[in-house]
Amino acid sequence: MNLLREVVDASVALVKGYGMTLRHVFRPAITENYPDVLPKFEERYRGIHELQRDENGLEKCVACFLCSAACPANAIYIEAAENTEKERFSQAERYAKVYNIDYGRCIFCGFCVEACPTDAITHGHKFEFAIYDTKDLIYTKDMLLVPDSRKEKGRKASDQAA
Amino acid sequence: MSEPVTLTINEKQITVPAGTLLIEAARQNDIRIPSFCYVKDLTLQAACRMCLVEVEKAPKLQVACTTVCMNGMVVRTESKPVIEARRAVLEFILTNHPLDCPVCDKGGECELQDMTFKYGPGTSRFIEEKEHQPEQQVSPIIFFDAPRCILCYRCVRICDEGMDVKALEPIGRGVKTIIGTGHDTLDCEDCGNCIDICPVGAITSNQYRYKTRPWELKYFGTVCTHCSNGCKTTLSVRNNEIIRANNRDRTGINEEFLCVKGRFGFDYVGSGDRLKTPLIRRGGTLQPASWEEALGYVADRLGEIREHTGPDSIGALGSPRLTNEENYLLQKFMRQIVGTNNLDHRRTADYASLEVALARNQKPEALLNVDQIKTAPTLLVIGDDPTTQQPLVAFNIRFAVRRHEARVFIINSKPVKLLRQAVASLILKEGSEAALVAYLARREGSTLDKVAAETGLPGELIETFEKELRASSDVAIIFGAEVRGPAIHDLVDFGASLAGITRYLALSDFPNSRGALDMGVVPNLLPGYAPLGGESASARLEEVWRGSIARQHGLSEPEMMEAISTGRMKAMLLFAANPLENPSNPLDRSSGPALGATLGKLDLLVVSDLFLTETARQAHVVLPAASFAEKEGTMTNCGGQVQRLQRAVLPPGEAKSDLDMIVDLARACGALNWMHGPWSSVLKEIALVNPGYGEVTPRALLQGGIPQTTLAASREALPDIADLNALAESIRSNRSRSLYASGSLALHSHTLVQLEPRAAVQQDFVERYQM
Amino acid sequence: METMRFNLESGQVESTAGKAETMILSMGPQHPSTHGVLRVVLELDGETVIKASPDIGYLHTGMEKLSETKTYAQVLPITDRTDYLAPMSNNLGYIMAVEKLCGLQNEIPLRAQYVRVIMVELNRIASHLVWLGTHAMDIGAMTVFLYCFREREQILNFFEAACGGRLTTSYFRVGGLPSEIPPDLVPRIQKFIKEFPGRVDEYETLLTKNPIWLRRTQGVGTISAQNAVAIGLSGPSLRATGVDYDIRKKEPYCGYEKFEFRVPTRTEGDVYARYLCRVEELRQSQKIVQQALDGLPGGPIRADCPKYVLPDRNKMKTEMETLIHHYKIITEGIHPPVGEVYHAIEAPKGELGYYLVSDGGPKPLRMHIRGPSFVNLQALATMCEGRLVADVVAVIGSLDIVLGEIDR
Repeated sequence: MNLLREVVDASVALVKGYGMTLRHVFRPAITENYPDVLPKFEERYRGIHELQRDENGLEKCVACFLCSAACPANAIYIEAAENTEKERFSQAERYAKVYNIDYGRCIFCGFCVEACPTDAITHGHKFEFAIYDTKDLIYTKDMLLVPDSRKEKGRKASDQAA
Repeated sequence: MSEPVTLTINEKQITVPAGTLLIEAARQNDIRIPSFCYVKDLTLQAACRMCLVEVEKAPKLQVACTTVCMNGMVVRTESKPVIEARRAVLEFILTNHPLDCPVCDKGGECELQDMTFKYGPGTSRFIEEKEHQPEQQVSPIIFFDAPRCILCYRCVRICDEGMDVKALEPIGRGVKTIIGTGHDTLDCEDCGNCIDICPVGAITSNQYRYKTRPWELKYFGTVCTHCSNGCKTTLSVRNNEIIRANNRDRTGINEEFLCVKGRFGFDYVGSGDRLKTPLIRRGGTLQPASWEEALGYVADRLGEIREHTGPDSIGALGSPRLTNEENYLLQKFMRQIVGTNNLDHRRTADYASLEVALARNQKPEALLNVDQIKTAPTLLVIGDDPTTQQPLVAFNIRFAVRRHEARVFIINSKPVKLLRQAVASLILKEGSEAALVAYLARREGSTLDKVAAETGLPGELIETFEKELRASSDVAIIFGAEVRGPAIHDLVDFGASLAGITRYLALSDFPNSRGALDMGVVPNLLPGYAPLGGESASARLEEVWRGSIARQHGLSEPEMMEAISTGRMKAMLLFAANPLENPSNPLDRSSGPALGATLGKLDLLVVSDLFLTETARQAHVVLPAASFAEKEGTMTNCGGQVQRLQRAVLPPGEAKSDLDMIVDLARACGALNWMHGPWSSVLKEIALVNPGYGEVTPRALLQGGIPQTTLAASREALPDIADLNALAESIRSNRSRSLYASGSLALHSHTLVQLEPRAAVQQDFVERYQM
Repeated sequence: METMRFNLESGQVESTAGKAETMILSMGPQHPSTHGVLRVVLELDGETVIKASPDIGYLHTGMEKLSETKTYAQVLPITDRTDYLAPMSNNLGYIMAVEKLCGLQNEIPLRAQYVRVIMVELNRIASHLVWLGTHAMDIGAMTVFLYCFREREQILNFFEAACGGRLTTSYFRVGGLPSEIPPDLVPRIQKFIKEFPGRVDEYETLLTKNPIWLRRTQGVGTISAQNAVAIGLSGPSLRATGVDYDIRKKEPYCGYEKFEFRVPTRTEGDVYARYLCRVEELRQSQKIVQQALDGLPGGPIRADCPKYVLPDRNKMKTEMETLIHHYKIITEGIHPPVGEVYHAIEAPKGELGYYLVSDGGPKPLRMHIRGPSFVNLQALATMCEGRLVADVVAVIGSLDIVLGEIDR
């Protein structure tokens, strides 16, 4: 009797289980087709950093070093310098002559973004930076800086004119 | 002195000497009272109100920095009204403070930030627009940003009281007050003390401007090597590059102080002109070579010359720029391995005569060091110009005058700036200092009339001066190279006739002038001022060195030059020495050609230096040396205080310290038992052969101490005075140089070269302040 | 035949003559069912386990020592990496310990507390889902794994929306939250939470009554309540032995006393009991999240305590005092008063405690983590000895260990 009951219970459980999986066969797939289709990130996703520009196309970064102080991984290296009349990079007196982020060290914790008093550094949504040589993981300022939108516009305008 | 007083601070009973300020009493008992404007040893200001404390029975909060401790006082520093008052004071200070922290150079080491973080309010109630004023560059090295200033008047006081320059002053009234110069530029001695003392970023340095942040730097406390005072300077290093120098922890013999050279003159270290590899002359030009090649070549050539013409055809010059250890090893190398006493260096003060004169008079306690100037009741300054040549000595003299009205007497051939602090002075004819000293010592044959004629001064003036001087006791005598040889014996005799304990300080030009002499880098003295002929000293050396040493007298620098031109001298080793340079004016190349032709006669000229100097250009082998910031070792300042150099950066290319170089050269010469370890082991050996260095141990130095050398000359075996006088003949001082110059290295300091034209400003002071 | 054998306890090579012949088998550190890099040294007599000794340290990264070189804020990302399946719980445990050290425990705004509870409970669900999926897969049920990860992915998306990180969240700050949660997040979580009980039913359909599952788990890896307490077991593993101990109930933190939920217990103390406890916890966590979402209050997200808490970003750009505090907290760090604290929370795996010692400086003098995985692993020997090799896999799975937390 007990054995019979056990067999019945087991069969019912198995049938229910198979029924469950069978139902899933007909549901739409939720798998993402990366790398053919790039994933969509949430707005706050912490990807490769971007150095922002202000409305005049100047760098927002004033080389205050707060990001490098906040960085738990010592990934940020900055050398500051003074803006001159001839060459002006940022709105304030100083700017970052060198701004490197070592992605071999960066842990994407977002503390630099939180520390920045001028909203100069933000997280972008790029994330693919696999490389064959760790030296290439050091991103320099020109790689991080967003393009100057005014210059871009100007270039497009001139392209159109041509 | 009246009775000590007892008071209660924060329920803690403390007893302090009468007259102690409340803020000091608290600090001595580890009770922290915050303040901006209070600086120990400067006049009281009570401008910032940050140090308000609650004193029982007083109707309002009291300012701790001007309140004197009284018996039975009950003080609270952490009560609610005090905490609220501090918040209010900070809120008030910050109302017009610009939001500059991200760009301000002071960020991270700013006292206003620290205080606000510790005591201040978290949010602002002030919403009105802040008053803006543009930042000004007031001198080649100083920027002034008025809105950041919190009007603590520290800079004004250090400039006026500490430096006696008075370049900064408050301008305007009320909220419009700013610290200003009165005109567009800052006419001053460029000491930069205002940069260091400024609690905020109002006064900043051009050299450090917008370069980095304090937490990014590594700090190395070392010794400034621009003059013989031996100030502590802290090098801030990032990426093997010295970013700035200052005295950030306010320790060391100089405390608050650093002059323009100590603060800004380090940049020659990173100069692109530095020698990076050894060079050997091949086919008429100097070509890069490896260390093995270069030292092997030198060792081979030295061996040949020694064989053909004897050891006395080889000579060496050490340098007051080398450390004690390097100088010591150099003379050991020459005396033991080459076997000659042809050794010398550029001497700028006669420490040997002073040591011997004091030993003869049995006055071992009579050496004055730089610190003791501060407490000396009477100071007699003969010759030199401390303001430009010995800035710390001058600073300390002013300190003594300011803090306890020390009486300063000046004897000089030129009007110097220190006259402003003097109670009596004699401006005499150049070169007549010795005659005056001889008269003061009542040397036989010296009469008032004679000395009046020689010095060009009226006899009565000399008499009044002497009378005033003799009325004082415990005189500290500070003298330059004008007093040397026999005059020093006169001076010590004169000192012995004064009341109290008379002490002496000889001023030299270079960082280790004293050390080089202590180490015996001279032709007729062994380390510790022992006579060359003295059996006991030579035997002691031979025992320590485990080998025989040369016993016959060697040649001094001028004698060596003479010997080269007559062809007796065949080889010269120059370590950090540049005999072709004109000591009083390195820009003047006129003395070069004649001497250059002389050096051209040598079979072997080896030069070790930082740069390709005019002498190095003539050399057969040039060895690249490490600068003061790239090596370890000790330096002895003019007052006999021994301090440690710390390596802050790596030398450029293959350059190495002279210590390593000399040891390697000795080993290349076949002395394989030369196994010297680091500087500390050499220092231990120095203590064995120089009795003056008994207290100077690596342990004391590594623990941050500043050991003091004692009188090294012993009474039993004093060198022959005639020998000493002969040595004194060849002392060459560079009296006419400006504040910005110090040997040939300053020429490679971009900042000092840039500032050199401002020497005229200092000349201007002296003329403006003429009495 | 005499053979030589290595004695684990004495560290000596000794003869096996006269003893029953046993075999030493290394399970791991590279073994799919040891959940990371755990190595279990098994002494076997045939198929029977005579002795099982865990050998740990293959993932040792020196996190506790490393913490002594970082400011209090900079330690936070390290805690993500201890129990990497429950970063939010680790963030919370650490942050609450720092808050306790600074005396801020009563200053945290209600909104921040509710958001913390939502995130931590979602994380408990995510962590249990990984456990369930991998545990089932270890025993042979592949499908559950895929379903579990489907739901976990959604939770990670919520984390990403709130703080930008999925696995290494580094969320929560001393005094509250770094930023307000995005406006659309609450409805999204609401939707997920509504559907979630149905999902749990799906997993249960596949496992709870499945005869293979029952045979593999019932009566396997048994431990008595007394033994469990002696070893220091905590979390669902402890509750499966009948000990009703949950820190959320016993010492409520973060406002847990405001929520209604049940602490599931079983008495059998075997693998199956642990399974049932955790599955029930999934349902209870869902209830807590539901309550927290419904009652989510408005108000500030950070305590008003300028000396310890980063100020508001907008104020920082316009006010001098605020800018200075921002600058100093970032560059120098906060200075908690001298003292030491221990703060424990109920992490998905059990009691997670952070012990901090402050010397008044900006960096911890000592930071120690009482990781539940480490303590729970100690029960492995008791549970496995006398059972078959195949049961070791089931037991390890049921303990729900994460090597990042064990080796630290």
